[in-house]
Amino acid sequence: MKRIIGISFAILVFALLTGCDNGGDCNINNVSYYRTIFYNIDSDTGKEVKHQFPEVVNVSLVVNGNDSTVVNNMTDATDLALPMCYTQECDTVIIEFGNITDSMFVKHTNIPYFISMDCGTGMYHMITGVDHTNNLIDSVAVVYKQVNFDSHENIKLYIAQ
Amino acid sequence: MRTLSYILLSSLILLQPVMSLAQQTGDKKNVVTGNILDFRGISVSTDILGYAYTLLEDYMSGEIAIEANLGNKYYPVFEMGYGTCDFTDETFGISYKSGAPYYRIGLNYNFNNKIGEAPRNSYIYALGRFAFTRAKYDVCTPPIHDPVWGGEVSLDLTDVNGYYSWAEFGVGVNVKIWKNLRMGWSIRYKARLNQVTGNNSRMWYVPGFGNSRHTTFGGTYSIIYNIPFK
Repeated sequence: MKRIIGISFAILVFALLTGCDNGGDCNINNVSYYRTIFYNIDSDTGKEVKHQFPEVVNVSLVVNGNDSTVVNNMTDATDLALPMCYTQECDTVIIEFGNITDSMFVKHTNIPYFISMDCGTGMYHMITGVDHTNNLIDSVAVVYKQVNFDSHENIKLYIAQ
Repeated sequence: MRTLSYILLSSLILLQPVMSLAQQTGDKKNVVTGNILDFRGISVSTDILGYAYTLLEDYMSGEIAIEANLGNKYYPVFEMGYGTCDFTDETFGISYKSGAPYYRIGLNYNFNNKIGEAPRNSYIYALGRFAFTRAKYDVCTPPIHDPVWGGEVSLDLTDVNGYYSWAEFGVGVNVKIWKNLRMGWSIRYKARLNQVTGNNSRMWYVPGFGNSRHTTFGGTYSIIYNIPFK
């Protein structure tokens, strides 16, 4: 008898203490960002190393002619986390490195997504290609196409020497 | 309030068989020979807790189980049921509708009997299950608003295919009520093994599992009829 009551009590306590996850990828505002990290190539070793801009960096996003400044006077920049447009499939990113300006054209699909009743809905994206101008940007590589609530690195942006 | 209802309901369910067990003082150990393949009969049961969910939740399930008795010690089990859900969330205005069968297969292990020992009026058992379901579901959401540039995107999905498999572990009690009629409850820890998601959604209600999570708890409260072979 004591054994039965003990087991029942232990199960109840275990169930109450362990709790459960909410099962979804809840995000504060349900906005997904793609992450771009700056690199350059070490001339001695030939390997890529992370680049940190000593000068001020400004970033604007342009969609359908509408300009939205998303990064203003950022110093010591090593990476960018930018949102994508929900209704268009190409975002123009204008990056001002000091007095040099470059543009990056990010093509993507939009994936409206039902996450759960707890988290609601969100918008995921898939990067389909990236073009760019070559004033300070040397090259660009897409390393992870999916854009969701994870913090994956999506784009490697190589700065010219 | 809902949590309080769960606790009260759980307490009533848990106490009933424990009190029944407390009244049993004269289980006689009539030892007979037997082995692990000693087939003693089958039992069929239905879980009435699934129907009771309609009082607390917006989903319901009906379930039957067939269990073989091997030496009054091991009980291979096959369970199948049907779960439905028709829910609209007031916070986000999202509607979700689904209905599908689910299946479980596994084993109960009787703690109180040795192999071949005569059946007791009541026993505690451990259980393990593999379970899966294939379900179609509909999701209807309000338009998704772009917070940076404005604009909206709609999301209405119908007949989305989903697959979900999980494992269950737990304990239960099985109590003789009258002749071959028995009752019992079980508490189960459920852990997701695999899921196949749609392009624009994932299953939220999983028949036989509950709301989609990595892990959750569940329970059964069953009426059981034994068909003895020996």
